[in-house]
Amino acid sequence: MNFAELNLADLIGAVLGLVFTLSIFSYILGDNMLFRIASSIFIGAAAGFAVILSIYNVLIPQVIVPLLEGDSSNMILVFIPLLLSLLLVFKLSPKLSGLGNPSMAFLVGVGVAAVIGGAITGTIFPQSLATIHLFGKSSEGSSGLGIFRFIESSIILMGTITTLVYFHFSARQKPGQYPRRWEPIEWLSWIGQCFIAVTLGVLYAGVLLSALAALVERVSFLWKLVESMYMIGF
Amino acid sequence: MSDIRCPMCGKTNPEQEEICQFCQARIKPLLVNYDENESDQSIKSEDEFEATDSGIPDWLRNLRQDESRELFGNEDQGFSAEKNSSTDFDENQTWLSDLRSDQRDESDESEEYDFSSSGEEGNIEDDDSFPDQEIPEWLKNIRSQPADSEIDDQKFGAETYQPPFVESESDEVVPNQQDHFLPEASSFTSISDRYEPKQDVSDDVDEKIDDEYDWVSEFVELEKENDKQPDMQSFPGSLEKIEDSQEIPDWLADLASYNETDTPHKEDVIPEWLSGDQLINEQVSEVFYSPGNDYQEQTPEWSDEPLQSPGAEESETDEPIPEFFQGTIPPFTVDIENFIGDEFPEWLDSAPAHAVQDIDGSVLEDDARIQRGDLPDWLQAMRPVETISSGHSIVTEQDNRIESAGPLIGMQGALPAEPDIARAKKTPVYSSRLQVSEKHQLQANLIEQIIKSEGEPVAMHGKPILATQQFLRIAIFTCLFLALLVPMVLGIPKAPPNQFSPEAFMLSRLINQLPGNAPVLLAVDYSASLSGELDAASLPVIDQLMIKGANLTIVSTIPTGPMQAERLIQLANQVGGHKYQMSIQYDNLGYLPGGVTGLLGMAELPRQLFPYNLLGELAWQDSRLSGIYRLADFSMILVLTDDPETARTWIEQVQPELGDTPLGFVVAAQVEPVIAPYLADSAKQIQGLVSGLSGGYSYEILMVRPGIASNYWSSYSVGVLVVLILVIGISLFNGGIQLINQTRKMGHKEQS
Repeated sequence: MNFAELNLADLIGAVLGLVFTLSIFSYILGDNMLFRIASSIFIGAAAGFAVILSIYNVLIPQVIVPLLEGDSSNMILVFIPLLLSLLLVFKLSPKLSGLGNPSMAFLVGVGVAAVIGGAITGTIFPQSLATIHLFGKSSEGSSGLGIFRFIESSIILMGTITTLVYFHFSARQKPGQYPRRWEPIEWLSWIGQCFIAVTLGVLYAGVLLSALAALVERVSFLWKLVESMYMIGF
Repeated sequence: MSDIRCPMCGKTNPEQEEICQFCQARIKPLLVNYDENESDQSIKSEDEFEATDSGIPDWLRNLRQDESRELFGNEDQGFSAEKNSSTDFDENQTWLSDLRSDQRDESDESEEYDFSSSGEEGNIEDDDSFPDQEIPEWLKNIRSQPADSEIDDQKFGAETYQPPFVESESDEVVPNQQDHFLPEASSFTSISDRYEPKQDVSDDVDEKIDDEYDWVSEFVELEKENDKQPDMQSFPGSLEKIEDSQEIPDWLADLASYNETDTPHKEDVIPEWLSGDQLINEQVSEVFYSPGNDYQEQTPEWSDEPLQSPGAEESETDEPIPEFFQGTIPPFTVDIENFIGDEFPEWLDSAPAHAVQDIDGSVLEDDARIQRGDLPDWLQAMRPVETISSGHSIVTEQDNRIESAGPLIGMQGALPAEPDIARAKKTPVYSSRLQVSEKHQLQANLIEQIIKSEGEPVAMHGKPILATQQFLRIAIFTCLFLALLVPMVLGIPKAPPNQFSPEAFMLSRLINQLPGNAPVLLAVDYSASLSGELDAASLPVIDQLMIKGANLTIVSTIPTGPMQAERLIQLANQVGGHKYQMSIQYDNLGYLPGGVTGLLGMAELPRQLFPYNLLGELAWQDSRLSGIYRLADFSMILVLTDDPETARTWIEQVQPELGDTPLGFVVAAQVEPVIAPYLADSAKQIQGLVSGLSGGYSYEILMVRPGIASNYWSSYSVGVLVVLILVIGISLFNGGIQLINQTRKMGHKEQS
């Protein structure tokens, strides 16, 4: 990035980027006005952009235009979701919120059905089959990694089973004692707890790496900006 | 067989029963069974009464006949006071009208009658002949009381309980009772005659009258004189005394004498309201209210009031006068003379004077006729024997108080307003202090202190300029910032990746296998916050697709996704030197609303969900998308996302609809652990993955086209190292501090 090569819009964007970046970095010194201003601007700009985009990218092409220019079949197809959408407006009124219940019921019902169906067909069955196929022939057909693959598959199987066992909370209570699961279940759940801890650690590491990558991008932006300004004599 | 109804419980009993089988109240009068002589005497008296009937005026004969019918004619009902008390006002008016009419007829003939011979005196003496063992105690007490020297103070006591019939006799009667009370009064007086020693009570009454009512004493003296000299010639002299002393007109004197003779018990236990004055009032009222009377127009207005007053209802219902009312009601006879004055017409002077002699003899007849045993059973049962026998007087004390203020000033016996009833009392003052124990007081003080401490301002400690957390934050930022900046400034050579990412290699191979101008769906579902990482990771992939000449169709499930996609394409053009333009090499269909259901709908019907592109043009009429009707028609689906949930939604909702169409992901580092299982050999739900900056750098190495990821790699590597050092170092530091603290605690415990 070279300031000399930037047009006015890019130059303004670069300067605003510098200001907002430093404003966000000011949070290191504590919560301050610059940080809050920058945060508010980002949130407001994103919300405003979402509204404009919804109007121009959703309402006009998918509701208004079919009602004005579409044939009767399209109008009927549009009228039903439009009616349900208008009923949702009554949710703003406590007295008339009941009129929006059909729309909410439709949305919730369809959404839950889609999620459950997708989870079953997209995660549970495929992942169960994948766990079963771990000890089968590999997709690549190589047999040289058999022992390591067996170990890997065994670890995955153990991790899957022990993690499921960890969430088994049924227990019996003996007189004078705390409720306690069966001893083998306790051991398996402890192993599952270890797997869960490793998984959460990996997720945290991924979040940390993503944040570090974003920081690298911002530091690089700042350095290039300073470097460009230095090169053009600022 | 007729049954007798018990006056107390109302249940029927056989006729021969004397006592109620249910409530043990006496059904038949005691006197009937006392002595056969008494009944004979009663019969004898009746005969004598009939024998002397010829000398009695018609109106009195009718009256006596009515009474005799009540007393003797109907033995089943006997002396039923219920009947008397429940007698309709109309009936009273009837006999009163008869009486009035008779009185008018007799006004000219009354002088011819001689009532001196009654022959009933023997009946009075028969009362004393009753065997003592059959007389109840209350009656004995009553008899003994008049002989007591202190009876004056007791018998007139206002608070002494008296039975209703005694109250009616001894107490004052509301004036408005006079119209229909007259027959009952005669009955009651007859009863009192039988139960009271005549001479004693009359003496008591005389003493009382002498003490309280001087003018009444005149009447009493007049009565005595009339008794001694029933001749009409003696009345003027007596009335002169009254006129001189009380200024009573002649007609009233005659009327008084007439009523005194009309009253059959002028010397007996006649209560004050029945003695003379009351009967005068009754007679006056009769005269005034008799229909057809020529002098009705002269009737004063006050005479109407008693008839309309509520007291008349009480007399009709025959309810006993309550105790609080006894002694507080002024005797009506006291005020009658004030109301009568001299305004009475002269015609009243003559008629009552003749009536004195007429009724003089009938008094004895009533005494002889009304026997002691004729008391109705209900009255026997209601008689408070114990109360009377305990020494209470049956005669109430008259109220001697005279009003000293107000509109009733000068009146005697008026209802006391202030001293007794509405006595002003000072409101008692109670202590508002709670009676609590010492423990409660201590607890209350403690709570009070706590509440007070809540309201007291607490001095704020000075906030340190640099807190520990803030110091750590600045220190960590400084370390990271320097670690990232130094490689950029110094130009440290890039370290090669430890190994090529197999997932990136798989995706690169898929892209390489795509045909030229293959339709590729590019989903840009990452936000601006992680654009630095996603841009670096996705640019080499986009660059490869552009190199392959893929027709990109861009969609997004987040609102900022379309703008992020435009920026990415421009950045790819800038970095890779491409010239991709919307509607020529790529189409941006824009934002896909609906989340999960939106993705599901797009997987099945993409044309209906995206009829127009971001520029408002019809998207699917372009030749590049002419053959696309569902997502499976695309050659490849590439999803760029920084959200694990979005990545999983794409896999769950879209991947099952894709069939053989490969699905690749370019994700942030934080998403990789979530979608890695879908990339495994056993699952193969996704066919390629580029994860984070390391995946992008690896992809650039594979493509031998360094890009943004390569520029960031040196700083990123140093930054990861510094982060790793900081994580390990700070973890060790915290662990050491905790270990030291535990050691100190153990040492303290051992020492203690």
